[in-house]
Amino acid sequence: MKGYLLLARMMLKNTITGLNPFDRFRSDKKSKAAVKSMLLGLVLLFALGSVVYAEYELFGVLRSMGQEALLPAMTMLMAMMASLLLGLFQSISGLYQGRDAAWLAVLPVSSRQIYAAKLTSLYLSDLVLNLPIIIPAAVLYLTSRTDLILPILRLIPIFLFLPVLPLAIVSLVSYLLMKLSSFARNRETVLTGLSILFMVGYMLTVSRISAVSGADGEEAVARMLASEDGLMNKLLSGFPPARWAAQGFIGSFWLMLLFCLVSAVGMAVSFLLTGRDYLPTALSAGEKTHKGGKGRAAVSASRAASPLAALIRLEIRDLVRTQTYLLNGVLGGLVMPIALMIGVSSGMSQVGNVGKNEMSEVFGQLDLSLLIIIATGAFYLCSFINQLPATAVSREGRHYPLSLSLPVRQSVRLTAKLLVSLVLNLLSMLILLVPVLFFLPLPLHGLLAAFGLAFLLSVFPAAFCLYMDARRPKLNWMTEIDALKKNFNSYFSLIFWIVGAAVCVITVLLLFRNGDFTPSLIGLTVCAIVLSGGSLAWLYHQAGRLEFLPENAD
Amino acid sequence: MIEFVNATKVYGKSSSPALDQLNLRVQNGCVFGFLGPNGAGKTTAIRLLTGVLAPTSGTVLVNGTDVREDPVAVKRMIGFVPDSQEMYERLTGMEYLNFMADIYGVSSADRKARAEKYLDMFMLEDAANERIQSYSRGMKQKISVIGALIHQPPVFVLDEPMVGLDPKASFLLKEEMRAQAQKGVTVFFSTHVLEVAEKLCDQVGIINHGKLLAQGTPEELRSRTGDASLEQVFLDLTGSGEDDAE
Repeated sequence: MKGYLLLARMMLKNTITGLNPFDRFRSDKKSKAAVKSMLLGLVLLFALGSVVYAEYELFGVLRSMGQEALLPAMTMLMAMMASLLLGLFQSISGLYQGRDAAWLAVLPVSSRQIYAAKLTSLYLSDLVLNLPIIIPAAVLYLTSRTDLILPILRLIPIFLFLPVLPLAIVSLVSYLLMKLSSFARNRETVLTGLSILFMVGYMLTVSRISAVSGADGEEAVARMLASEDGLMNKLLSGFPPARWAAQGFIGSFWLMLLFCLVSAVGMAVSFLLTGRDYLPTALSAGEKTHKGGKGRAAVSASRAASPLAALIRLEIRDLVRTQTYLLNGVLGGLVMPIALMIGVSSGMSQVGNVGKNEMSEVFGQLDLSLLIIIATGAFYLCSFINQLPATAVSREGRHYPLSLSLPVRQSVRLTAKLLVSLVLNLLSMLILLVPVLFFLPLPLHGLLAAFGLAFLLSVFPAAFCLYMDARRPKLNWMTEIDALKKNFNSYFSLIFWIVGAAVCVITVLLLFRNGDFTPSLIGLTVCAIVLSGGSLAWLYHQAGRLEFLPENAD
Repeated sequence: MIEFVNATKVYGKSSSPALDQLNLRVQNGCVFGFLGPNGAGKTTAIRLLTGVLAPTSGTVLVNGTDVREDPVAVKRMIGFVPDSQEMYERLTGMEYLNFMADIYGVSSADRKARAEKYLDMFMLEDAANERIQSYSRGMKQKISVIGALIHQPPVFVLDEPMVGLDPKASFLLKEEMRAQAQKGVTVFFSTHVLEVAEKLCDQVGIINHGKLLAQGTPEELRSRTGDASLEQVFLDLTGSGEDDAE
C-alpha cells in the first residue's frame, strides 16, 4: 500500500507540473510573472466562461421545453463517452508505452500497486477534465430546484465515480489489445489496427443506437433531445450506467447507489483480471516494439531533395513510428471527422431519402455564400483537436540540442513541423468532405472555396501554437504521453483556435447585410488571408530569435 | 580553430554564471580534452560552441566565424557527438546516417563510401537496419560518431564520447580522433576519464565552477604543479583532492 501511495503521489506531481500553466513563469522576474499569470488567468477564465455560457444557453432551450434535467444527463453522458473513446488511446499509451516500465520494474513494489498508481493518475486526469463540464451543468440544473442539499449530496459520489467505469472498460480493452498484438510479429501495426477497429466499432454502435427517424425543424430538435425515442434517451438507454448517474443525481438515491456500485465492481473486476500481469505485459511491450529489421545493412544512399525534405521525413517517421503519437496525435486528430463520416454512412439508411431530401430542401434555400461559410466552419472545426503543432518541439525531448546543432535555420525546422501538422488538418478535412457533400448542396467551386478558406484559416492556430512551443518547449519528459497530453502547450491550441473562430464569426456577422452573405464571405476570405499571413509572418520573424535553446524550456 | 573570447553564460536569473569569462584557443590539428567535475561548465561550453546556446557575453569563433553571427555556417563546420541519450531513436542506424548526410549535403557516392567504412570499422553493419532505440548505449555512441563524421567536418566535437563504449570501440574511437587530428581536424571533447585525456590529448583544459583553471599539454600541467599524474593535477586544481577531503 505504501508503494502505491508513493508512486501515485510521484505520478500526480509529474502530471500537475506538466499541466500547471503558471509554472511556466517561474524563471521570469516577479512583476513580469505576475502580469503573465494575470493574462493567463483571464484567458482560462474566458475559456471556462465559454463552456458555462454554452451550457447556460442550452439550459434555456431545455427549460423552455420543460426538460431541465437533460442538461446534467447530457454532460454526464458526454463525459463518459469521451472517456471511453479517447481513453483507449490514452490508456494504451499511459499504461503500456511509457518509457518508465523498466525503471518501475526494479522497484520493490508489486505489479498491482504500480498498475493502481497508473490508473489513479489516469482517473485524476479524467476527473479534472470532467470538472468544468459537469459542475456548471449541475449548478444550472439546481437553480431549477427548490431542494438543494440532497441533489448536491448525491452529486458528489456520482462525480467521483463518473470516470471509473469508462476507465475500467478501456484499461481492460487495452490490456486485451496488448495481449492480442503480442502474438503478432509486427506488434505495433497490429495494435494500431486493433485500436482503429475498436474505435470504429464503438462509433458504429453509438451511431446505430442514436439513429433517429425522420422529422423536421424544431420538432426534430425537441424530439431528438427530449422524446422517449429521441437521441438522448436512446443513448442513455444504450449505456445504462449513464442513465443511472443522471437519474441518480436528479432524484433516485438507489440509482445513484447502483451507479457507484457498478462502477466500483467494474473497476475491481478489471483490476483483478489485469493487475498481476500488468508489469510483464508493459515490459514485453517495450521489448518487442523496439526491434526493427535484422541483417547486414545494405548501405543505401536514399537522398532527400533538401534539408527541409529530410526534416519533413524525420518528422513523419517520428509520428508514424511512435505509437503514442500515432494513436493520440494523428488518429486523435481524425476522430471528429471519422465520427461524422461513420454517423452519416450508418445513419443514411435511417435518415435515407426523407432525411436527405429535407436537408437538401433546407440548405437549398440558402444562398451560395452562406453555404460556403457554413462549409468553411465545418472544415475549420477539423483543426480543433490537432495537437501536433502545439507539441512539435516538445516532442523532440532530450534530442532537441542535437537538432539545434544541425546546420539549418530555425525557420526551416519550424517549416517542416508546420507542414506536417497541416497535413493532418488536410487529411481531417478530406474525411469531412463525405458528410459535407452529403448534407450541403454545394457546387464544386463552392466546395473548393470552402476547403481552401478553412485550410488557410487553420494555419493561424497552427503557426501560433508552433511558435509558442518553440519558445517554451517541454523537453524533459519521461513518456511520450507527457510530451503530448501532459503538456500545457497542447491546450493552448484550443484557445488560438477559438480566437480564430471568434474573429471570423464576428466579421461574418458584422458584414451581413439584408440577407446577403456575399460581403460576409468576402470578409471571411480577407480574415483568412490576414490571419494566416499574419501568423506566418510572426512565426518567421520570431524564428530568428529562437535559433538557440530556450533557457526557460521545461 | 576554436576560440572562446571572454565567453560567459548565465542561465535565467541565476546569480552565478555557468561559464565565466572563458578564454580558450584550440589550434587546427589539435586534440583538446576538456576536463572538469560534474556541473563545472563543460557541456555549457560545448553547447555554446555547437550553436545550441547563445553566450550571455563574449564570443565563440570557429575558424574565424562567430557562432552568434552566423550559427548555420559554424554548424556546417562541426561534427557533433552528443551524449548518447540525445538521439533520433525512431530511425534505423542507416536512416540516421542518411538523414545526417542530407542535412550536411553529402553526395550519394561520398555518404555510401563513408558509411561503409565507418560501419565496418565500428562493427555496426549488422545493426544498421535496426532502430536506434534497440541499440545499447555503446552502439548509440558509435552510430552518433559515424553520423558526425559523415560530412568530414573540419571541427569534431564530442561530449563524453567514451561513456558506454567497450574497450575495443573505445580504442577505435581514440584512433579515429587521432587520425582526424593528423588530417588537420580540430578535435574538442569533454571527458571524465583522465587516463584517456593524458594519453590522447595534445592540450587539456581544466574547468571548475565555469572558470578555466589551467590549460596546456599534460606534461606542462604536471610540471607546473609538480604532480606526478594528470589525475593529481585535476584533483589539486578542482579542490577534490586530499586537502579538500581533510
